[in-house]
Amino acid sequence: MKIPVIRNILEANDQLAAENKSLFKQNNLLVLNLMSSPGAGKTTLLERTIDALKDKIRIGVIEGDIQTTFDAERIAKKGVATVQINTDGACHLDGKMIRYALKEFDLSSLDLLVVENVGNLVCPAEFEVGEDYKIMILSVTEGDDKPPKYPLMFSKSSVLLINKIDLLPYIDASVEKIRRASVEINPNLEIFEVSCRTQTGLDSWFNWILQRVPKYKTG
Amino acid sequence: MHEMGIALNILDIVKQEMDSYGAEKLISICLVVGEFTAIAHHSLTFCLEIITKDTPFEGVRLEIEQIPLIGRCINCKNEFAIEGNRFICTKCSSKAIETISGRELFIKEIEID
Repeated sequence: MKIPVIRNILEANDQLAAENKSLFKQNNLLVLNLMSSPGAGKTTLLERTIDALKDKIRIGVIEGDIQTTFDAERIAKKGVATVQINTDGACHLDGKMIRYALKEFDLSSLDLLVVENVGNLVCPAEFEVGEDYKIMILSVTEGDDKPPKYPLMFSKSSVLLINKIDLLPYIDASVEKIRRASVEINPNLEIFEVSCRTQTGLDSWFNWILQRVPKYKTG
Repeated sequence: MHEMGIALNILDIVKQEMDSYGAEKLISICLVVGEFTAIAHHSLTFCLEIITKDTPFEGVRLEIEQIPLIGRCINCKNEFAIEGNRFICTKCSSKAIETISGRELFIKEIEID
């Protein structure tokens, strides 16, 4: 006997993500889900962002890694609330992991929570964690052919930071090609060209965040 | 890489449905999967095989209906297959495209005994 089911396979995660989201809303919190390949510069971008904004807004960070607490140690040195999640093999963070991590924060004392996802250009894009925006980094050393190879992440992100532009003189990647291919997939994508190492182009990114932090917006 | 998690979710939902029907034997699961999802079909089939081995669900057949990625132009209403990730209208070149299919990921039906 065949029986109809019609149930979303990710319904359990979507439900948890929706609950996280309403918790974030109650606490007037901006939440960003930061995604990229391993080594594209997520943690360095976070360090720069914290340095630039920590006197203006209160920041918390959830660090997702398969193993180690290296990243959380780097971020904690900056003096912001940090929780490390070790996924023990899983290639992405999901709503349930974030739910557990949230117990370690006093959400009412934060304005911005950044979730640094596991380094991976595929899987994290499929799993909502309750974020307001998905932010992705592509470093130019990864090559300018990546947008059409990993379209889902480009399609679901609101912001693309093209990082390591200080290395452009030494490699063959074209920023123009990355821009063109990314916008074909997602015309609404906001793109910033930056170098976290030389601290180039980051002011527009910092402003993008500030314009979206609820408490900062209202005064 | 995340297909194992997807396979576990599928099995959870199927078990709930079977309980509600009082069914004991599971013959097949039919999924609908959009073209624009990051799901590798062979990997999903493999994961389902592993997690059902030595259980009452061993040998369950997985059928996957793939749904093509179709966009509709907000400007001129043209509906077209999106090929090569080009979210650009094939008639008027507008970039205001809504995705009308291709993002599906759900269980359509199960066959039980």
